[in-house]
Amino acid sequence: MRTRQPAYLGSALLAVALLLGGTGCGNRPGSAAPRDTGPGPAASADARVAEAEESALAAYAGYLAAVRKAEQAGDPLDPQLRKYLADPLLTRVRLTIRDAKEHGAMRTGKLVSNPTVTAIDLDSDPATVSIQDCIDATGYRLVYKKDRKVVPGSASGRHLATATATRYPDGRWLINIGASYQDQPC
Amino acid sequence: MLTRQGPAWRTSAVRAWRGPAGEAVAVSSRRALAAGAVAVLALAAALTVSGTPAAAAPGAECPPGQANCDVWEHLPGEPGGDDDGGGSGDGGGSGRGNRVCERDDGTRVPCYDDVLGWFNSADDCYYKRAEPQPPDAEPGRTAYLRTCSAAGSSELVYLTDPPAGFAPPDPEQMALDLFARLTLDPPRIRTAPSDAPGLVGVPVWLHDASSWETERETATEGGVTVWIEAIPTKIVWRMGNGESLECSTAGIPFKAGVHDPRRPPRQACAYAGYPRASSTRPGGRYEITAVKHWTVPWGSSTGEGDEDALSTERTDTASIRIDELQVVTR
Repeated sequence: MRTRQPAYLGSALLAVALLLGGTGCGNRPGSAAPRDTGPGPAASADARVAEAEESALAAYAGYLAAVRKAEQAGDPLDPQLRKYLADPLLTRVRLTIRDAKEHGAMRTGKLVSNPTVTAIDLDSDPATVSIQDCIDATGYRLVYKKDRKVVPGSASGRHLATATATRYPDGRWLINIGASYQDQPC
Repeated sequence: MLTRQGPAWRTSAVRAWRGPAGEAVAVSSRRALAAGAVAVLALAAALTVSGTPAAAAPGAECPPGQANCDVWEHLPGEPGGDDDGGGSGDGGGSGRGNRVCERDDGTRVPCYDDVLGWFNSADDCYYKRAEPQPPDAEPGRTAYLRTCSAAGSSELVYLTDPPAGFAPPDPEQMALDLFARLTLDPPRIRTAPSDAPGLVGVPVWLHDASSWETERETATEGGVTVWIEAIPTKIVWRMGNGESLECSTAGIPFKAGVHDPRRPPRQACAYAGYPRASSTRPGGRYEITAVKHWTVPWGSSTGEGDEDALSTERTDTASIRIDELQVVTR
């Protein structure tokens, strides 16, 4: 009864990961981009895809960095968060930071991220980019501020995370959906 | 309980919110949630691939980089509780008077929570305007993030009217408050000549030594962030003889040996020269008045704002003596 998630969750998630075009970690980005058009349009389409991919990954990296800063400052309303995040994930992240703060804790240390793009959809409205990350949180600890002791049960290792970057009308790419799967090692 | 209005009520409210029935119930409902979430997740992923944005994140997952977000629910009586410091500054910190609302079961909760928004007693959910508004919101509808029970079960809902209890401050009023609190440097008049008298027909160099940087102020209240900018646009120099001159920059100070007083460069702000001496003026001097103008655009997280609604000005005065040009004849 103490396990975090039911056993079948694992296979379900794997299916989702496969659906997204990846095999866990290390798949090549951009594979989902259409490549069968003529040379002219293909070049510009490729440029659009590359730009979307780059912007989405930049937003994702900015998001992780902003969260780390906000965690250490214990500030759920850190204005940096709004630069990279959108609701509903924005509020979820804020709640998580506040939760830690209210328990006298914070996340600190080194978080290793290794994101790849698994799908790009520029024809939909809004355009979206799906990101998959193999996060190594081994050195990223949830500690009590008082004595720096690790919060029991909070240790984490290498695991899968997914995120969606969405293009907003002002042209910004923001991460609006995201989840981590502790039970999915990578 | 009613006599204590401090962080204490908030702490108890948060606990009750997590489920007063005890950990067993809370945990088992969480299981159900997690199981349901798998289906939602699969659906969301499929939707993302097919191009339709997933409207709501699945309920119970932790964000990337915060995989242990639910660790607190598995900790019986954790030691590091920070009840004194933790609650202050959150929830009631909006300046909205720490109003208290009541859930159906009688639990008292803050009417406004600075992360979740405004409490709607009709459905016991918190609502905040989605930040930013999603691209696919239909015209005439506003996207709100609704949070009804455990943390993480927020979802976007699209409403034509704000939900009951939704009472964010008026962004325009907040902008006006910021505007009223702006501290802007008045101009600091520097003229050349200044100590020695000037001469009729010789240019008077005008320079404002105050800052021409754009000033920015922001305020956040009740989930609404408002920012204003004060941008210096021009300075009007009234020369004291009925003439005036307008410059779009602060001008430049006159440097002896570098500048020719009779040939001010382009970036200088110079009055072409007084036609008459100041001897007939009160005190034998012309009074110069400099009026510096700012335009003050404002904007807000709700999208409301105005580029040119507000403007302001500050004034400084100085005086200058102008003598006749002495023609030496023999």
